[in-house]
Amino acid sequence: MFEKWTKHLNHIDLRAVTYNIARRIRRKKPIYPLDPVPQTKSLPIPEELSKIVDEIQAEIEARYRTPIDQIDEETEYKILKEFSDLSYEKMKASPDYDPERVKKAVEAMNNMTLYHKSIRHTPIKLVDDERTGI
Amino acid sequence: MLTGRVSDFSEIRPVVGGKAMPLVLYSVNTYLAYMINERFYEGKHHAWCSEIFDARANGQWGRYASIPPTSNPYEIYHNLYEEVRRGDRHSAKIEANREGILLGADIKRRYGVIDQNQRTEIEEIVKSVEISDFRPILYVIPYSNVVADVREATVEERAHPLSLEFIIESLDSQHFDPIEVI
Repeated sequence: MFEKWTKHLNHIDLRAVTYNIARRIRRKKPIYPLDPVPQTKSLPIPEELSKIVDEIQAEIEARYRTPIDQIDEETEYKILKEFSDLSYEKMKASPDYDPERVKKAVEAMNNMTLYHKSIRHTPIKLVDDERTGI
Repeated sequence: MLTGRVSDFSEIRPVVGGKAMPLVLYSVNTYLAYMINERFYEGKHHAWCSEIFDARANGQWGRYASIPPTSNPYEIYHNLYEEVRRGDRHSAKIEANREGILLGADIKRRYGVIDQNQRTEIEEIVKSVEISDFRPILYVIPYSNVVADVREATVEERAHPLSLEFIIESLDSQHFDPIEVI
């Protein structure tokens, strides 16, 4: 849906764009307790990316016929998920992507000693556990 | 911190600016977010808090009646627990938390708390884990431990203008106890 603006961006720049879109969507909304950050923190981005964010905002407002900060929650997550999935795909396609890294990172988390002893420290599981053998 | 003998609640309830503050704050997060905070952010947690666990228990006309379900720890916990239990792959709450963790990681990267490799690891983990890792965790936070770090949410930040909500931007692991209610 937003490929026109995102196809030439690397996944890091795309995350920066995603963050700023999220912040604009939530500008006038209450903070979501499970996801409390974007209303409160500004992350300045280069002018080139800022222009892209402006254009994406115009596209969103035209498509949904509403100001970006009045978009409903369901549409918000549909938009953010699309950006998020795009950046994830780009990350996996980048030359420095290491498919073993996620396994190592999860293994490290599962081997952590937690300060809190009363919590159930269950192993983090990957969706494709059976295939990866973790 | 508390010192000396404690004989009743009035002695341990913190007083700030002449106003009695809550004994305890409650916050709900997901297990995955908890683990990422512990692993990547030096055990610092971002907590959106309420001074009451279940606002509904206080009655229709009580002080906490204006706390909406989206900010009521019991309802956040219960609703998320149900969606995780059902293994709902299209749960908006789970997707919201997935995106929230990623947005949080964007901020931590920008502020230099993590490097780009760690940012990438977080993205890989968040996108790859099973739904069960999004199960809810209740943070029980003694107010006395966070007096210097807690602030009341502004009207714009609250889910309801009259709601009583608190924010702790950087809650240290040692200052709360996470529990699973079920």
